[in-house]
Amino acid sequence: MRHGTHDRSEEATLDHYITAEEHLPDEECTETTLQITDAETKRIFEARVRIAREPDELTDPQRLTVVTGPHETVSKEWYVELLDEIDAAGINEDLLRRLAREQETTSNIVNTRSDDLKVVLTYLVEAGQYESTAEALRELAFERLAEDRPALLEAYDAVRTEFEADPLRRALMDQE
Amino acid sequence: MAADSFRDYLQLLVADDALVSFDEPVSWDLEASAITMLANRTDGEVPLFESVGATDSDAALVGDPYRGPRSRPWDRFAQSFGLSAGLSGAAYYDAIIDRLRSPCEPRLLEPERAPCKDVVHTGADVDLLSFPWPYVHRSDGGRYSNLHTIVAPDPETEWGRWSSHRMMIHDDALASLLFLAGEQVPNRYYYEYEPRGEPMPVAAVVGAEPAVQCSTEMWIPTGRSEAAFAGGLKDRPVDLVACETNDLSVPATAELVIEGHVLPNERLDEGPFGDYFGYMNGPRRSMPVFAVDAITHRAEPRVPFCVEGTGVGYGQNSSSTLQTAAAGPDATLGLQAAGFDVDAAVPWRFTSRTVWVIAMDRSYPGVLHELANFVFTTWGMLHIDFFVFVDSTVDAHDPRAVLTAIALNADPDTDFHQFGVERMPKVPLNIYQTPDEKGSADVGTSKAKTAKAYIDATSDRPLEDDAETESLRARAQQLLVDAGVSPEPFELLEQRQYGGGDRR
Repeated sequence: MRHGTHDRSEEATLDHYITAEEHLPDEECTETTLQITDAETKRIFEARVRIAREPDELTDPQRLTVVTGPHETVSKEWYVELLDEIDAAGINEDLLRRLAREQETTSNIVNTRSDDLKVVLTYLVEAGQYESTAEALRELAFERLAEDRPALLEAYDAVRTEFEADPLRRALMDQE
Repeated sequence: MAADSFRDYLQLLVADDALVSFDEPVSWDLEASAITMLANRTDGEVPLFESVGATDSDAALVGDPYRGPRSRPWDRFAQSFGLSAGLSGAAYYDAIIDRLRSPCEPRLLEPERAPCKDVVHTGADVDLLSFPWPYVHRSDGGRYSNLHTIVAPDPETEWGRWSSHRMMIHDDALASLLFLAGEQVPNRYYYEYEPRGEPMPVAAVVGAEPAVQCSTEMWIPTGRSEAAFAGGLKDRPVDLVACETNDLSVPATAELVIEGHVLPNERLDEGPFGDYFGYMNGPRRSMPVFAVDAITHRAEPRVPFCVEGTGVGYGQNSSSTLQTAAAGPDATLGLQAAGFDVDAAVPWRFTSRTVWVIAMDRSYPGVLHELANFVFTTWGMLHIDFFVFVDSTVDAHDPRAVLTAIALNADPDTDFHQFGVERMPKVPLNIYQTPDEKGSADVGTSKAKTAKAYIDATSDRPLEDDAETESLRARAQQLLVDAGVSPEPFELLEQRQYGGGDRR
């Protein structure tokens, strides 16, 4: 926490990010998705962030250089607070990880209420196309997700692989 | 000794005492490019950075390896292609044009014989940022690979299309490519793949052999492949090998190959970048996304890069040298093939993408305008702003000779011509258009069109005066003979004597 007091020596220890003025949201201190560059590695990525002109307005402020001008040769110093990193397809992997971790200890039943859906699904079962309405719903939903949200399924697949392949990470996360 | 790989080429530099190795760690973050810039400015040795700090990779960086000696920029390419040492600019152009007239089809190697497959990374194993891509200029939008060959599919040729488009690295598996509409490969993406919603397979070949790098800079006619012309340049086939994850073939001796797809309907920031004019050039643009599927490379790959902006004025760099040593002879041949009696088309050494010198005889009135029209409308040369036409007797490689021709022959009143006023497309990398005139430029060319220009610095000897001039010269020759000079060197004398015999 860096409320109230903030000096140059403290600033030197902050992480440093860069963004372009054209990417800034209209309002300060609201949660927004922003493309930023890590000043040290020059990695460019999107993250859920809050930004402000003064560090005291943020809980965990980091340096943010905002470049502007026709050739981006003018800059001003702002502050940014990183909430979650988002990958290039707009998938919040941290959120996916949290949900996957929570899923390990909660029920895996998905509920929905719809007379129409139940009639249609039951029809498919009684017509012999599926063994059960649950199976019909699972297969149809995954087919649709594969078609419309391939990046989400891919990211989830990567998260699951991570979980399975990294027992140490799992053990540490379980202790959190 | 000719060079069949980038490694061979570096050995040529070593043998010439033209390469200096840095063993101590050098940062990819401005330091490598700053050292290279100094070498470019001072005509010094090419720097090889063996150890690049803050990377996990055993890759080395090489700063502007294709920069030629200031006085004779084509020398190292001549050596690489096994041509004689010490060729004049004109002789080098003649030799390269001869080679280009005899293309040589490439040879496909089995993957196990391809050096670029020493190490293969695919899927989750791919990590672009594990390589030491340089951050070249302060204020660049990101780290860049800018001295490579982009290989893309082309239904008209078996070996695809090779071209050069700089690439800004975003993260482990994504980069943006500067695809300027109007160029062949970008057009294929914008007008064929993207409308179909289909990713376009591409490969970025880093550290290719000199013949490949040269042919990448050339304007190859549609239906022909750069691979065959690269083989022609070195007078034997270029070795290719199939990619791991798509149907493209890439130069087998390359240092590093990045395979992937350019995604449809996706854009990422590209730029700003300190461009070839020598200035930072913004604003950032939305450009197509290169999603990486695989990276293959040689053991301890050597990654070349260019410090753009240092090839203007007296300095040379890789891209200015490639213009002089590759694009120039290629354009000369292209103009000759189009029926223009051109002696040489040579990029102006001090700003090679902006101004070209064309040495030719003005065979009929209007030929210069016709040639300019052909180049600017047929080839869509977005970078070139103007030509200087000089007589074929002027050495187009010699800046002093060209300036002399302008001073003596170009009448400010009649010999400076604007061409296509407010109609010509322009690459938005120039520094004279305002940001508004450049526009958002989603597909690459400036919103506002501009003009091109040419200077007619050929000697002004009106064609209609030829008969009178010849008559005067013949009379002068006769007077000299009459005064006792031997008639042997005078080409008009025989004709005069036949007529003059009656006078005696």
